[in-house]
Amino acid sequence: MTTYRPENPLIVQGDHTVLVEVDSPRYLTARDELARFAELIKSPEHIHTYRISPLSIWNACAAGISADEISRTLYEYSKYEVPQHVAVEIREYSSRYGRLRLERDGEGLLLWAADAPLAEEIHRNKHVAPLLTERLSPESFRVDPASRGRIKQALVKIGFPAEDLAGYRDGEPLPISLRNKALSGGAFALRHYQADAARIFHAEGARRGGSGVIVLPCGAGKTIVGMACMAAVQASTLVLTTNVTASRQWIAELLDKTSLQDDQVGEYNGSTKDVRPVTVATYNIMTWRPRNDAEFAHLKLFDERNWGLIIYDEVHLLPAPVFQVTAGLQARRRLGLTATLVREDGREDDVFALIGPKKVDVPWKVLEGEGWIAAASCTEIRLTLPEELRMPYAVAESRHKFRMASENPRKLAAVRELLARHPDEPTLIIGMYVEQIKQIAAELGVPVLTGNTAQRKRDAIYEDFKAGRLGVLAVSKIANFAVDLPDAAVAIQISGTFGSRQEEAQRLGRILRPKAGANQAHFYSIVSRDTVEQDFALKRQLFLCEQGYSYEIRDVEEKGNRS
Amino acid sequence: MKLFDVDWLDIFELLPLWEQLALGVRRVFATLRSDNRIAVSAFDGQDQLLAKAGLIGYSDNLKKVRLEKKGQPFARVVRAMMRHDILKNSNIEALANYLHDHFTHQELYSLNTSAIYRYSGGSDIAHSVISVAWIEEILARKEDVKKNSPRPKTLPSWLSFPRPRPEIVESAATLSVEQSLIRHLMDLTVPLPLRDLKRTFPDVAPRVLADALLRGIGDLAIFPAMRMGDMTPVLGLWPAITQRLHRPKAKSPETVQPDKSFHAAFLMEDMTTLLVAAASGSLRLRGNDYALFAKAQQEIESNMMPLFDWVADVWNLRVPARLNTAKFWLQSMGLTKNAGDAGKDLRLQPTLPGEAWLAEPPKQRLKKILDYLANPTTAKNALADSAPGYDAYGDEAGCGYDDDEDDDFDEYDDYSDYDDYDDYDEYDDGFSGFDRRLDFLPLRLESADRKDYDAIFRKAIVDAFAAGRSGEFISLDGFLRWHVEEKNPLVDLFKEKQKPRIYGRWGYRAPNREELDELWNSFLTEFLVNRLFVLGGIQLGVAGKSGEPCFSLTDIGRYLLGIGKDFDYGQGQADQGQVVVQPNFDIVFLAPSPLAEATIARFAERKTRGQGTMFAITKKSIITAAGGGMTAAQVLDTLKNVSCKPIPANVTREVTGWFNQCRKIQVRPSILIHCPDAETAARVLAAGGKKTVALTDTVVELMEAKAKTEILRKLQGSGVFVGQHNPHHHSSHHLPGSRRSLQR
Repeated sequence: MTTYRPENPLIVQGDHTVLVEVDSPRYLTARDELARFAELIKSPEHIHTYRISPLSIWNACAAGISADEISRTLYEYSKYEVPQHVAVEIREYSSRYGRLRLERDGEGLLLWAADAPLAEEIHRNKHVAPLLTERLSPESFRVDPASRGRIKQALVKIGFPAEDLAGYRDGEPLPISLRNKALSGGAFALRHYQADAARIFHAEGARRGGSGVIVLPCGAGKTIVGMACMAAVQASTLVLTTNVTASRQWIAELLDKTSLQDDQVGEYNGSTKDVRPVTVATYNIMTWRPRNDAEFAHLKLFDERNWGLIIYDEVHLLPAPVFQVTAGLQARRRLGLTATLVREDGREDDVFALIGPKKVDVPWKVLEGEGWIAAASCTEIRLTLPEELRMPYAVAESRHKFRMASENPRKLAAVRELLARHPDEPTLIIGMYVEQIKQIAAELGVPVLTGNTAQRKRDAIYEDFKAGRLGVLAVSKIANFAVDLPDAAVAIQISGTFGSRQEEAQRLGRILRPKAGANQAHFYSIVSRDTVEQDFALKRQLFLCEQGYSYEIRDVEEKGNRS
Repeated sequence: MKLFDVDWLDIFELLPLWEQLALGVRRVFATLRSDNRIAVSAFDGQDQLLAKAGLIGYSDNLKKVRLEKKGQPFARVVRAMMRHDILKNSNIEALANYLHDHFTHQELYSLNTSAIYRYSGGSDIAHSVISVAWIEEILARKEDVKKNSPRPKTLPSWLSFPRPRPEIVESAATLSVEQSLIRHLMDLTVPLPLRDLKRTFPDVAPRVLADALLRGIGDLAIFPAMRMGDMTPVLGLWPAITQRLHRPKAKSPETVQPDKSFHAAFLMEDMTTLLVAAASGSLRLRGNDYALFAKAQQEIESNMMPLFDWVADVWNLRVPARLNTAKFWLQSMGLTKNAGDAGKDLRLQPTLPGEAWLAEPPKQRLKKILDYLANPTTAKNALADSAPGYDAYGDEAGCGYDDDEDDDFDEYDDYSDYDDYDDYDEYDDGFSGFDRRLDFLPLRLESADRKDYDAIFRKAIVDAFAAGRSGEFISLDGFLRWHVEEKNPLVDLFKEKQKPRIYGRWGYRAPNREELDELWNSFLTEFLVNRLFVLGGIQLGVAGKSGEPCFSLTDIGRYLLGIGKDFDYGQGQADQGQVVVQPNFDIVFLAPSPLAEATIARFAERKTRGQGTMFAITKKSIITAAGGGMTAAQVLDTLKNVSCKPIPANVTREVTGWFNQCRKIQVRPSILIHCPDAETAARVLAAGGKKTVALTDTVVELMEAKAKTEILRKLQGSGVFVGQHNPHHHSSHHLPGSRRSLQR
């Protein structure tokens, strides 16, 4: 008979997902244990879902967790018996990690297999064999150091990840330390989870450390963790970011909170090509080429200095050409920073193989609970299309309907009402359509930032917003990534990119930095009722609910919401 | 008799020799026939014993053994005893085979008192022989009735057995010894070894004993058999008789404490699941047998309430059979109909009462089924009343379709699938004349006197089930034994002078006590399973290490029996506290909850089974549910009922919103009359009266197709004639001013 232990929080399902009951008395300990070997997929209010995958198991193995420990945890906290095949597959996945090792000897790189049959198997694999230059013994091969990344990629894809113990180049030494007091004023110290993340990544310089991914929610201070890692490595560093704004934020933070001086930090993007001991570049410039069939001209930056550390900001957005180059940079320490490991293109295994295993993952709600990021309430405001637009909408082609619904003119009144509700809180109005955002900004008399806004003007507006001289700012989708607006407490989304979950996460991230007082942020989406916009909003609603945020729906036409 | 037709005195004399033989040699001897040879070595040195007794001889080279003429009767009896292992397999079929192998038609014909033997081929005799009454009749004989009875009726030559029948000493002495032997066997719980026979009756002359035995075998009271384990010849009564004689007296059923229990009106849930699928309008039926297509069937089955294995095992209630039953009940209650033509687009569709029933809350749905069972005719009218415009016995008013209503019940005239529940008994071997129907009683006896015994049985059923105390579980086996053996109402009924004869496989005949027990057992079990259990009238449980089934009558059961006024169902019944509705629309089952699962399956998409994230509420699933007649209130009530956490506000909001988006439209055929001008349209309207309506100045709709001829005639009379049909003038923007359809 199946044993049922209702006091336990886990339900291990046959499809390798694990449900966790948040209200269980054993939830906290179970969650901490589970997070070591399973990926959090969704965390709505009552039951969270994790997934055990080969990658999550290998991540766990890389952190020194054994299959027995994993199984023991599942049995210990499970309400029901763990499906037998899940336990078997955990053992199977786990047994594969570490059976291949990359090591270095005096002559170069070696690949060691745990036994001759496995060596034979990989030797016969058509993707791996070309990367093996010589067979040294029944269990070992010589590997070209230039193929170090590619062979790791190939081995992950056939299900036998190699443990990379070949070590790193130290890179060009660069003394860096974190300040106790930021230049901008105010004390500065690492938060406990930031210090832990940097320590786990560096592993005191051991070969098992030095490469991997740190997963922290937006607003949790990933830039600070990156700087702490730089301070641990003490070497010249290349930082790759998503855009110029983000690059400048990095530079500003580096100069503000580390011992680095102006002349030690360079900016490398479309307008500036300044290579210094610490260089902050954009993915865009790295993947730029004059023609589609031309070489990527700026990838040479990776070799222009003897980098001791490469930081990949928002690693879930790492473009394919950078992956290719990164495959050739396996002798350098690599740090990935992200809020989510999930990639739209499904190349999580490449992140694992080329950047490294996940080192730290702190859930959003944990930091919210500790007060490191603001609590957020999400509200969807629904309003109808004006009578005169209903028939044009009804007969419009499908591809035009979303825009018509998004640009519902009644949204302006709703924005006004929300601004009135939060008069003293810094507010962002975010929209997808430039004309719409400009029009609303003009009506409200607030400045607007779009992709065409000059960088100097952008910086000035940011400065005013940060300083509190500006209470409301309208921004187009450029605000999605790495815009540091520390005092934004309210975000009003008037239109979004269909149902993009990633965009929703980034937009919400703009308001999650801790606030003085109630530490409460508000995220509003204004949606036209009974239109395709509402259908797309449902996807975003699901995403936010799955992240654990409460989601309220209000209808402006309903009684009680009119006032 | 055939194979046992030997002088048993000879057999008695050879028994000591048989006792000396090793087990293996006995088995080898049993394979020896007059036409085969067996190697001497197979006899393991004991061939000399057999040869000395003259049973076997040797071939010329002394290497093979053959059966001698003297040994043939003994070898034949040994083989005959082994032929039917009746000690292990003592069902009716085994007895029928035994009779066929050992008795001539004439002998059986003379034994049978009824006239149906000629058709039954012995199976009806078999039903008599397994009854205690059969041997009681022999024991009651005062004189040698055989001597005085008329000779067997003459059978047609093709039925006569050509071999001459040996002389049996038919005397009072053999009758008395036969009766003593039967009585002795009645006292034994296991068969008597043949070797002990003489010792058991030391005062009886061996000759008389042998004749009495032969006579007992001929009277089908004593059965010789071989105990296969040690190859010992034994004698016994038919095993079922021995078993019946030695069974402990049935006691009033005791209360037990179940280790686990189950309660759900899953048939109602199954009917709902099927009707929901039918309401979507896409449930096509096969033209040849009116069955569902396999894919649709699998889809519906996956949404049916899962029963725990231990529950399904008690009465072998498997999903396909449940679906057939649900279909049968829906059809019988007039909640579904077959729409369309066989071979074209035959579909299972809800009727208007079906749609109304579907829209009811669970308790009301169940109540209507129970009321239907209590009085099908009244209830059918009540169901029709719940759907305005529906004629229970005719077409749906205002619908205008020819839905082939006549087909509705045709395929159930011989509803063989309904037998799927019947694995638990074998009464069909006895009386196959049950009339299966959807009524309070699941069975009806077809009696020769055509008297309606329903009232008697109904009262007896109510008395039997109402006797249990509320909330107490009693052993199922104990309940059945007590009521079958001690409270069987059929016993009194059949004591009457004019015994009702029941329709058996070969015609009407009076049943014996064993068959009456079997019949009442079937009545009780059928009612228990196919009325009470499937509708939540009992709570089923299992108790003890062996998992003995037990049950307790619920308020639903009392309501069905007419001894309870009301019951609760649907609220707080779904294992509250085990289901969580998440803000992301997932429904997670922290523990299996079949009832909740079946209910939620109506409006949510299934993801997995058992426990975990089992459903997701989606816009599509809600719209499907709305199409099936559900309302937002029903969905939200169900969620509130099953969820241990408050329903997230966004879920409530979205579900309500999705329901609000749903609209119902009516589709009906009509005729559009395109007129060249408004004046003509006015004349058409005048001719059509209430049957026409103006859609535009020049387009008139004729709402009743049947009236077309009449109106055209009127129009012709007034000078308005029908012109050529032009399809280009059908689109709405061509309607005004069109001068094609009807021309003056």
